[in-house]
Amino acid sequence: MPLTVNPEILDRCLLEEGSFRDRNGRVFYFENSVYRALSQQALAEWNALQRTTFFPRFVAEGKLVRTEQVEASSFALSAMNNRWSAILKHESIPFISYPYEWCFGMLKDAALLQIELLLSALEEDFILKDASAFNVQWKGSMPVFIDILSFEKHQSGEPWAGYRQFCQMFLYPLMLQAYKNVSFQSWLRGSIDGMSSPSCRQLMSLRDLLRPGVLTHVYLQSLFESKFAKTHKDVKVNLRSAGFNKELIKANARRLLKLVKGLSWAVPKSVWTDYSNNNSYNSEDQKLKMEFVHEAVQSQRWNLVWDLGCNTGVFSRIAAENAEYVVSMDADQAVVERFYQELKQETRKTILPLLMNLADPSPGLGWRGMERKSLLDRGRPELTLCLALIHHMVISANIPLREFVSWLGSLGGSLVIEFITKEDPMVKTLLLNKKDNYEDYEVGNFEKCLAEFFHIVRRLELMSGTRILYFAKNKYPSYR
Amino acid sequence: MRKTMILGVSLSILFIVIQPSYAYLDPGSGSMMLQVILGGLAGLGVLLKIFWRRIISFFGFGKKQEEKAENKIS
Repeated sequence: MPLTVNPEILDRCLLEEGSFRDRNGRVFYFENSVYRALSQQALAEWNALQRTTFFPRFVAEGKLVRTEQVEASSFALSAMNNRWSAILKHESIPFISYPYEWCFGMLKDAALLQIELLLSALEEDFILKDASAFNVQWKGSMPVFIDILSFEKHQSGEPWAGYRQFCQMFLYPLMLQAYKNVSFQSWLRGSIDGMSSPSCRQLMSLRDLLRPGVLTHVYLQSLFESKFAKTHKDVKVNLRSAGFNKELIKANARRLLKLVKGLSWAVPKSVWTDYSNNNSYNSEDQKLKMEFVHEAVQSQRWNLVWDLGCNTGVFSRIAAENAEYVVSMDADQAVVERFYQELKQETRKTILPLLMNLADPSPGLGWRGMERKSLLDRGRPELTLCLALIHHMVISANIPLREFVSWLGSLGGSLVIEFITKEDPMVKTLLLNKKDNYEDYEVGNFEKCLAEFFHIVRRLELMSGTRILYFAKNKYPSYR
Repeated sequence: MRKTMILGVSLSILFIVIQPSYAYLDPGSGSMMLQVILGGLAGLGVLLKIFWRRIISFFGFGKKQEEKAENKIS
């Protein structure tokens, strides 16, 4: 029975722009919570899901998003256009992220979760009808599957429709990095639906055919795809009558599980992984810096903290002591991978490590450029840590100093920032082989720019004399 | 050894299953067919059934039945 419309409430609901492909459900936001409207059909699927054993089990383990049906009448929330039969409420994900922001380990673990769910669902005659990487989100270092409408009753005799998408969004990108040592993030950001099998096949050499999974999932799939593209016959019907059953899907899924588990990326010994040993801090300065950050973090409880240029993550950990959630960003995948593996070991749920080039942060992508949100549209930080970063932005990335500080101001939160002078060995390294045109990059000018957007609360010059720390409050604070 | 077997089987499928005149349908068809091979031992039974029908029609037997089925689907 369709729900009735309450026009006053309707204005305050915000539709999720990315939720439109599946016509049987629609995600929307109301008063800081996440809801999903269900059609008659989706409601039937949901009721069937509730009766399984795997669904509540995965929810209890934290791998499936906690979901409950809400009483539409007590809620007083309306259906839009009489299309909907029920409303579900989901637990909120603290900060949305996308596969092109994940390190290798994160995409791999998301893939493993997807297959694990598929295998468990099949035991009870359910199946995942798709395999989009966007269906997985994160609570810190723990992956959570959020698209419960992906589950549907398995029609006996039908093959797994999500297999191809699984390859495009998970397997091929992972193989690209594991086998060819080429990072997959740029590809996924440029190609929102993943890597096609012909593309993957082109990237694999003859030698790669010997690597696990390449002959079957890459080469053969590409071949079969092109050969069957023009078939007039209904392949599904043919397969069903030929006796296709879920055992075949399970066999394939188990092989995929083993294959993905075996994929690994040799983390390169990059400049940064040696950072903690080779930077220009003496240990006394490092201690002072940590105390400074600690004091700033303890000044109040923070809802969301961003650690820009997080490197080893030492300061993210300090921030996490007094924050609901910390998003740690770095442009170097080696450090993000290492940090992620550490957090995963600790089963930390409050720190999310992401790969992000701050000179080119994730833009809005997909349909109308709104399906996948730009970084700044996903939640503004109440506190931003910007330690040992500004010299990279101004000198390496050539961003004018005032513009960078202005951008930090536009984030809307308080700031802990470290300025490193040109006398510092690390900055001198950046200026090697470059003409020093960076007249704006000096302390006086920096403090002037900072004061334009912030009130400086505390200032500390480190012993080396080349590094100065600031804790500042935003002149124009704005929180979501 | 196993890889050669898989390659051999799939090439045979392509050789026998593919027929000349077509129109566009579902680009995921290839992936669905591939799942038969990837289904391991369980897939062999399915494979044989598909083969059998094709072999029969290839040799001109049971053609009328096939045409009836095709007309129904299209």
